[in-house]
Parts: sequence; structure tokens; C-alpha cells
Amino acid sequence: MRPQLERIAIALAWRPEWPVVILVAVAWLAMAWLQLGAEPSHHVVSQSSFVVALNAWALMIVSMMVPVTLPAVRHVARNSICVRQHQAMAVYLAAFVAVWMIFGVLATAMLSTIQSFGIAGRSIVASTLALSTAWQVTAIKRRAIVACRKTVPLPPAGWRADAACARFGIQQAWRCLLACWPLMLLMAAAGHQLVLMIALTTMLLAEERTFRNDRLIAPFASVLAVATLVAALTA
Amino acid sequence: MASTRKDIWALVDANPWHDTIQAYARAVEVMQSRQPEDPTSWVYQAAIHGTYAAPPAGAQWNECQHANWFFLPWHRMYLYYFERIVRAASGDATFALPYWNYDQPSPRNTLPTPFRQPSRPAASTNPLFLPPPRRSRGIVQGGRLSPFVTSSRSALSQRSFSGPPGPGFGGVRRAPIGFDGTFGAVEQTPHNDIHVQIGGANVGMCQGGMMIDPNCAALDPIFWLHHCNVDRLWNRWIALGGGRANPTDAEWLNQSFSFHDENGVVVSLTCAQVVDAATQLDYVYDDDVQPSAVLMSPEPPIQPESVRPPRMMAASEQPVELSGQSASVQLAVPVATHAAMTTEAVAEATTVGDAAVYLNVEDIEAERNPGVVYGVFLNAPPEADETERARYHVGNITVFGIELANRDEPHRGVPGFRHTFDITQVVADLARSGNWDPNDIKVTFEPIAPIAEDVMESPLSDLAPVAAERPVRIGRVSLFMA
Repeated sequence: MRPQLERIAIALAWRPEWPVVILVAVAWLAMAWLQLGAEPSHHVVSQSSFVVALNAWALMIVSMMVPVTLPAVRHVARNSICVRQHQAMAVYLAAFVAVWMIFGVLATAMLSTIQSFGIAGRSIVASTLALSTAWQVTAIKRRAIVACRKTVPLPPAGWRADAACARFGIQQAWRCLLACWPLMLLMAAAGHQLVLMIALTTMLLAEERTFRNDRLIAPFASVLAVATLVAALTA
Repeated sequence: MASTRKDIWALVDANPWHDTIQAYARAVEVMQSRQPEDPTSWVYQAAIHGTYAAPPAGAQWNECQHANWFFLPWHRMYLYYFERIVRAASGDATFALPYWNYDQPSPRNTLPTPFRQPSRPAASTNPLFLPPPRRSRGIVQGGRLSPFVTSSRSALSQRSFSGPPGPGFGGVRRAPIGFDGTFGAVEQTPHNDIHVQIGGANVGMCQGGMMIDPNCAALDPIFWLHHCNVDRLWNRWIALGGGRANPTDAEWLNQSFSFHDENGVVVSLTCAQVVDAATQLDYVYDDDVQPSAVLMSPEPPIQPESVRPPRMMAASEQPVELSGQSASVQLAVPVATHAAMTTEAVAEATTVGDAAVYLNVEDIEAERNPGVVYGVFLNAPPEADETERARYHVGNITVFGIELANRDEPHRGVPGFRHTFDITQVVADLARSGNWDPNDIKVTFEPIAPIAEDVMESPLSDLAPVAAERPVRIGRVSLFMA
């Protein structure tokens, strides 16, 4: 038994981001519970308070965007001294999620405003799908995906170390934002639907974690274009 | 019967224009006269490695594998088909590429003489010759390469192919997102270092040094002899035994790459098809070690991640900029790791225990390669002469290929290089001799130039303005212990 435990301990030491993986799993369960346990809803923004919408946004960011940044979380932990590993990961994640929350506030406010003009939810979904399709083929998106490997030097201890972790978190979140902000806007407009979350998370992970992901741009853009057409016809 | 790749200097010693060298020069000339669209032309073959030109439809260009575990097999395949094309073009059915083993005393650590002479027997031109700035002036004038850049000792001492921990011999496992991306030990020294020292200054788009830029390197005829030497070192590494082995992962073994044979036909090989050059590709090196002569007892291959990962113990707090001069940076040891870094603790861990110590040079950035190899020294006394400094030398850094890494095309590279050095022996020696102090760990970067002959200007003089104009920035230097 002891060698088995030792093997597990070694495997976890190579993957110090495992607490964050648990956090992501909990976020997914919470999203599933909210979706399956709640009344069917296509437009969370229109039916919930702003705060509830933001809570849903926060859960969605942890579920969808944190998995994308797990290699960076591992990098932060492995490049910090042992006693600082959890602190470094926490500071990095706080900065990463904070950037996405700022975007979430703006996106939620914008969708609320648009809906207040009486524009149908399906029309908003169709528009964000069209925006996602167009963004998919831009050079900005391509560059943002490549930039995921850019790191920030991490000093060994003290406030400089925390500041560097925060800077790295902001940098990674910003380039993530550049890569997929229309898709997350789509999620907010579509009411954080679980099936859509799974589909888009798979797509985002494929874009970020596969070799020759440049070859995925055209197929993904085609899928989004077809979805735009269907949404437009049924709007 | 297998063909034999021979040491170029042994050929030169026998005859300065040995038949094999003449055949190579003849073939280069023939290939250079072919149209670039011809897969057997000089330009096309070089473009397979890298080029700034737009590839014709269907061309296998810009395929070179660097900074990952396909570096050695890809270049072996590349050499193999190139050799067949040269053999056909030269008209010499027994032709085999020579190799340049620069890790030998002078004159063998100088550019072989047929590559330094503007003409050859019975011909007014010599296609093997490239004048400055196509090659470094110092090298063309016969400057000797420093043992710091020619030595394969550190690379051969690696026991794993890919790490981790440590850089491994052949390069790290390829990952779509790799923050730990580093060069394999043999790829850095001697491979990258020799590219940079031969190439001189990179002025872009193949207008300056050829060897210094992956997109121009294979246009220099010495490229192929340099890579034969790296290929030969792969054989020697395996022959050393002691657990040294190629990857057994299907992902590595089944990876295939495409090239063109001597008829211009597209051909493919997998890594599994090139692990044994003698039996699979029908060639040997004249100094290949026979299996019966393996010195070390067989041991099981090193399993990555079978031990705990190295832990960070110290790191620099400020970046450092290299602009052609010596520069140093101090490593800070946090309170939490101080106890494990005392002289006594380090001496015990590295001598009694089996601890390994690694030095990382991280977040290395430069707009363009300045053409300087920087030696990395740990706690070297300023007054130490070159022989003594060797005791403190842990490796070299270059920014070979940084131009590709800076481009935003997917998978051309990682912005921000990282080098990892196994410094266990240097640290153990420092601790044993009482010269280790956790409050004074200093890493020094010093430019390493070819060693000038008496009549020559310093080979660094050409590069000094370029190095000052194009500084190399290092984000962090860190020390890890496993």
C-alpha cells in the first residue's frame, strides 16, 4: 500500500494544480445543479437579478476558462518555493478571474440594456454567434492563442513574487479574453446552458491544447457559421 | 554493405582535397544549378529546414524540428535523404557525408580547410566556401572554437532522453502548451552554439550569417557536416548504456515526417524506423562504439516522473541584460529554503545523497540573434584563468531560432526561451571545497568567442556592436534541487 501511496504523492507533486482541478469540478457540478434543478431558462439575464447573473458568470468562468489556464497554474506552482505554491496559485487565479469578472460585469450590463429595448433573446444569440464566427478567423484571435506560452519572471519570495503572479494572471486572462470574448458573450446571452458550455469548453480546450491548432480555425468557424444561420432562421 | 561517414579532418589529413570532399563540392554545385522548385535542388533541400521564401504548392518546407524530442530523429531522416541526393548528384556511388568533430584539439576545432578556400583544384570557385558575412569572420580566418562550445561531455552525461527532471539528451516531449520548454542538452551544446559561432551576425532574410538563422542555415554546406556530428553523438550516447535509451512512447515512435529522395519522390519515415542507423538506414560512423565495448552496465531506462519533481530553492529577483559584455546576477535564497542550502546540507545532499541540482535560465528574449554564445558560470572567481573557469562552467546560452519564436505563426516556437543545466557536479565541488555560501550565489554570463590566431583581430570585435544593439534579456535565473 505504501508504494502505491508514494506513487500517488509523486504524481500529485508533478501536478500541483490538483486543488484547482477540484475547484473546477465543483464549479461544473454547481452549474449542472443550477441548470437541472432550476426552471428551464433561456435568458438568465432577463429573468434574474444582476447579482444572480454575475454569480452564474463567475461559476461559468471557473468551469470554462480556468481549465484552459491549468498549464499556467502548474507553471506558477512549480516555479515557486514549496511553502508559497498554494499562495502563488491563489494570487494567479484571483487575478485571472478578476479580469474575467470585469468583462462579465460589462457584458451582463450590456445584455441587460439591449434586452431593455425589447430585442428578442434569440436575436441577441444569433448576433453573438455571428460575432463569434467573424472573430474566429481574425489575426488577433490567432495571436492570442499563440501568446498563451508567454510567461512572467517570478521572484522567489515577498511582495514581488505576489505581484509577478498577479501580473501573470492578468496577462493570461487578457490574452484569453482576446481569444474568446465573443464566445463567452454568447454564453451569457444564451443563459449559460450546460450543453452549450460543454460544447464550447471542448472547442476552447481543443484550440488551446492541440498541435497545429491553426488547422482547427476553419472547421470551428464553419460550425459557428452554421449555428449562426440556424439561430437567425429560428429567431 | 553499410556506408561509412568519416571525420572530415581525417580526410583532409590524408589529402586536402580528398575524393569525398571533391564529390561533395561537385554535388553542391550541381544542386545549386537546379531550379528551386526541384526537390533535389540546393535551395529546396535547405528550405525543408527553413526558408523566408513562400513555398510552392505541396512543398515540404519549414519542417525543421527544434526544442523538442523530434530534433534528433527528424535531422537523421533529413541527412539520410540529403546524402542520397548528394550521392546521385556527385556521380560517386560510394559517397557518404563526412562529419566535423570539432571536439578535438587544433586544427580539428577550426573550420575544415576546404570550407575556407575560395577555389578548389581545377576550378576557379569552391561552392563549399562562404566569405564573411555569410560566416563569422573569425571562423573563416581559422579561429579555433572554444572547448566550452564544442564539448559534448555534459550532453553525453545525461541519462534520460527527454527528462524530466533535467533537460535530457535529445529534447523535451513536445507539448502544445509548454511552459517548461527547453532545449535538449545536445541540441544546446554543441548544436546551437556551433550554429551561432559559425554564423556570425544575423542581419535577416539570409543577408548575413547563414548558420545563425534556422531559415538560412542549410544553405551553408558546413551545416550538413555539423549535423552529421550531432547524429553521430546520438549513436555514442546510446552506446554509453547506463540506462540511456530512446523514448518508447508510441507518440514518438509513430511520428512520421516526409522528405524527398534522389528522384524527387515524396518519402516518409517514422522515428521507429531510424533509431538504429546501421541496420535501418545502412550507414555507420567511422568511430561508432561497438556494443561489446559499452563501458557501463545495462540499467533500466530512466522513467520520467518516477521521482519527486525538483523544488525551487533560490532565484534572482531582477532581470539581467546581456549586451556583449560579462554580466552577473545574484540568486536570493528565501528563508524557507535556507536550511537546505547551507554548505553542509548541500555537500551532504550532493555527495552522500543522490540529490540533483539544476539551474534554469528563464524568459530569455531578444528581438534578433546577436550572434554571441554566452557561457554560464556559477560562483566563478573573477581572477580565475580559463582553465580554472572550466570548473565553474555549467553550460551556454544562445538565442538560436529566436526569430522563429518571435513570429506569431502557430507552433513556430515559444516566445521566451528557457535553458536548464544539470549543475550537480559543480555545486558538489563548490560545497566540498567550502566555496558554497547560500548568501552569495552568483551566476555570471560571459561571451565566448572563437580563439583568435596571433594574426587575427579578436573574433568578438565584429559582433560587439551587434550584441550591444540587440541585447538578450533574461527574466529570471533559478536554482532547483531534486
